Amino acid sequence: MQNKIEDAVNEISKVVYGKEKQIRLALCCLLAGGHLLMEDKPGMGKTTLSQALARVLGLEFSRVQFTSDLLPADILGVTIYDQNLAKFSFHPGPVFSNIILADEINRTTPKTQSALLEAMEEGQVSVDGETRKLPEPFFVIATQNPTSFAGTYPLPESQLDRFLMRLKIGYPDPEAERELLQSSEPRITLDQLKQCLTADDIKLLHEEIDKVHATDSLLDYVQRLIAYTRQDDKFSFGLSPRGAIALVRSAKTWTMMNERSHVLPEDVQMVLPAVTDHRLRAVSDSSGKHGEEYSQRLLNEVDIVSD
Amino acid sequence: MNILNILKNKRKNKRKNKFSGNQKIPDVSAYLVPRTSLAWILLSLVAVILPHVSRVPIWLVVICALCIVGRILIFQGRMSYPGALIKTIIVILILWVMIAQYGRDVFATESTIAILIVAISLKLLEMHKKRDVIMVIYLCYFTVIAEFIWSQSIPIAIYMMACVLLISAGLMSLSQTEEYQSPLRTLKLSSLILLQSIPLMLALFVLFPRISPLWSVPLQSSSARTGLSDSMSPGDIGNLITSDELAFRVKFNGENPRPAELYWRAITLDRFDGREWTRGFNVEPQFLGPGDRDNRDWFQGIEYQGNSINYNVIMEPTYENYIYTLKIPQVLDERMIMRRDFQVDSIRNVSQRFSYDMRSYMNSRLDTSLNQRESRRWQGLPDEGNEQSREFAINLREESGSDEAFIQNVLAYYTNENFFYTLQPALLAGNPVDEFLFSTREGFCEHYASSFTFLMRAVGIPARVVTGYQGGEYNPFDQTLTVRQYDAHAWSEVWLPDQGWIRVDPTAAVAPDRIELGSQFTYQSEDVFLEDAGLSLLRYRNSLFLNNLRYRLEMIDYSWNRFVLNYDQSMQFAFFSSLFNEVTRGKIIFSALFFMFISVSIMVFFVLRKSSRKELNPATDLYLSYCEGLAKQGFSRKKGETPLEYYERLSNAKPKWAQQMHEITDKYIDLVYKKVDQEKSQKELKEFRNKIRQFHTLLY
Repeated sequence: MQNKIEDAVNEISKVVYGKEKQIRLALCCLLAGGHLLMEDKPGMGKTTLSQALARVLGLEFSRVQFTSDLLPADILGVTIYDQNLAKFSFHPGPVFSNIILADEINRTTPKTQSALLEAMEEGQVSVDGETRKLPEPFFVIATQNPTSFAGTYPLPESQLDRFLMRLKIGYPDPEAERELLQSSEPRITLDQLKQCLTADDIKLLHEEIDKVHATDSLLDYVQRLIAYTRQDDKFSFGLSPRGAIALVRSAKTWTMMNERSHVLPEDVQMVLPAVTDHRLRAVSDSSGKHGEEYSQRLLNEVDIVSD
Repeated sequence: MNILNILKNKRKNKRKNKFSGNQKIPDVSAYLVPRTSLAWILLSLVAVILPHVSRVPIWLVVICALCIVGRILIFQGRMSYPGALIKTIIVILILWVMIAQYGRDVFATESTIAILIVAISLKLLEMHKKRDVIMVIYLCYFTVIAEFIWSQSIPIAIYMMACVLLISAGLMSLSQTEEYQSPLRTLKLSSLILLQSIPLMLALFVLFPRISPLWSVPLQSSSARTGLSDSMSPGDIGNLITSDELAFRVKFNGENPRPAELYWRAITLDRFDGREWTRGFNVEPQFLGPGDRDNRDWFQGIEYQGNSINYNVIMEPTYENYIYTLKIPQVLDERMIMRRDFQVDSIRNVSQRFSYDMRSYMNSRLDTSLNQRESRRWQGLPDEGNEQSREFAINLREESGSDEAFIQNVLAYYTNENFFYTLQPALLAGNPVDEFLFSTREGFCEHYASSFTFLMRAVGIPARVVTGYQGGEYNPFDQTLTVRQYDAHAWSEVWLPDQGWIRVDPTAAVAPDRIELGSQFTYQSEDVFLEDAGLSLLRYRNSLFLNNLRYRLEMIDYSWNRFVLNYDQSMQFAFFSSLFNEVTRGKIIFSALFFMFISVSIMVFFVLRKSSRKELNPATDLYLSYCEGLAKQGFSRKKGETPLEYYERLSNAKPKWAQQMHEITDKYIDLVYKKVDQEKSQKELKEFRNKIRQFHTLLY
């Protein structure tokens, strides 16, 4: 089963060069059943990575380009009077698919953002007084520009907290970039990527994640991490229980991806920045731009072995 | 027949077994006292014995030292435990020397403590079992208490606290595994225990009923204590001047009288044998205690006049009965009685620090009339001896005309005839009074008091010698008056019709400075002053800083004596009566139990709360000790470093340990982060412990 994951990583690497760690983390996030937020400057390959992910997972996916005039109905769907049938019928929006690619989510108004985010949390949408279930599995991969860019509506903390991970792609390293520039043969397009995992595979992988064991000592470490964010007065607020669950879940998924049965502190440390960057904020930092720094502080300051 | 054979064989076998049992096979199960425990025990033993060293014979100290050395040799395996025969011989020998040394006093406190010390030391040589070690530790605790028989000063108390700390550390180290034997950690733990016991200790101190001792053991050295005795011959008081030992401290309620007015009466002496003044016991049947007040007609002879002064005295133990009073006391205390000669005695021997409240009327008149029997008592002189003085007195009396004038003339004689006041007078033989008055003419207060009283009696004026202390030193910080041995003094009291007993101090006529400035200023230039005092702060009166320091220390010492050492039944009752309306023994016991219950339950609460907290994984504990060992080599683990990362960093720096470190790290990760069943993990933990132990030996 883990081979398939490796295949998927290799497949995505064909379109996103030199970003294996990010690819793995993104896969880890989706396999853990969480929603993924990718934040970076334009042109860094966010959209490519998210599309590649969707393709490799072989799930039905739809893409929504978020703009400032997008309305909730554009995502959720509308009820329209059908003259032939002489009655109102529901036309489901793009949200009714396994993977939603919400491109540039912070370009739209909070009203539309919250429509999507409700769907993320509840796994269902209410349109015209009727609650409709969303298909399983349901992932949202959102991309956003850094909040300081013009024409953005930053997501509030409550909504950021619903994303399991936030990834930054970052500039490619020189070798990868050279490769990118050199490639003479026609680039492999997204359509050419082959599907590596099926919905059933994902279900099986979920079961495997549940089997991964986290010992008391490891959970002690996680709790020390959380307690640190809550007690240290440099943090403006601590990690929420949802954040804590996210951390353990991600760590377990990472463990599973590495074919181990027990979580090691390394696993926690590996996923921690992605899980906590967008959840942590310094007291002095109202826009939340320096979450990374504080994740790093967590990794350095909290003792792994004992108090 | 067969059966018989079998029985025989059986018996034979038995004998064989028994025989083989007696053979010297090394005892594998022998208990080896852990190295650190032994160190702790020997250390605390030395610490505990140290303060006793000056009081026990030197051979005993040598025995202790030998035992300690012997014990170390046994530990190193260079000596075996002494056999029963050798032990018996040693014990008999020591007992014999002990009896030879102490004689009849072998059951006095000194010798019993000496026996205690020698017993602990010998016990070291037979610490075969853990039980023996614990026994030695308990004996050490006991010896700490024994030290308090001799001294209860603050420094000693602090020192003994430190001893308790050491002993407790020893007791603790006995049950520690090797990983926990860091001495600092043990010491920290034992101080923590000591600190935790403070509330209980305070509760017991304040609330525990004070019961008077059921028996008392005589002190052999009581006679050797410095202080006044109930006889006075030339030179006696001069000897006291060499000592700076504390005699007593006084705190006045209200205004402090001038030191020059303070004549602390202790002993009244009435008999003179030509050389020595003593106290006549047989003519002393009448006394006055609070209960007897109305029965004694002589009590009517005291006319209390003028203002009273109230004061509290804390006197150092004298092992005598007399107590210090100013003229003339009104006895209010149940614990003391007033004799016919107005000497006040404690009913009990003052064998420990004694605190009492007293009221005196300094202007009162005593015995304005004296019956014949009484006056005869105060006029008695030996039939012969000191003839020159007698003649001189009779002539002078005739010249003077009246008793008062006679007294004045005698005092004038001292002043005019170049009498010299010194601490080192010439020795007097044969007729001491004659020699003093007419040839040597140098003397100390007892010479003056003695000769003066002699002259009075020679012409039939009732007179007596009073010894005690004069003056004292006020502490400017807490206004207590400190009287030391060098303030000892002797003076006379003469009886004049209608005036009663009046105090005449011939020393004042010769050396007025002694009375006005106090003893310490008068004697400063003399060599013998403070001769026995050693390195006393009293020598440095001229340094303002040292003098103030001394006053401060004395103040602390006074409070310690007053509120800690003298906390007795009456203070306890006073404390309780401030809490309850009516104090009964039952209430005291009840509140003591209640308080103890409360403090114990607080402790239990903390203990339970602590244990309910998650305990450190034993593997983690071991791993931490491994990290600690490496940290000492300069490779401390960073907080956020995972065991694997730590290993990798170290294996690059120290490739020669890489193998061991790899195994330890692997095992640790398995133990802590892998799901394993209980039994297996116990086994693996043991393996892990061994690995770490091996690694520690590798490190050193």
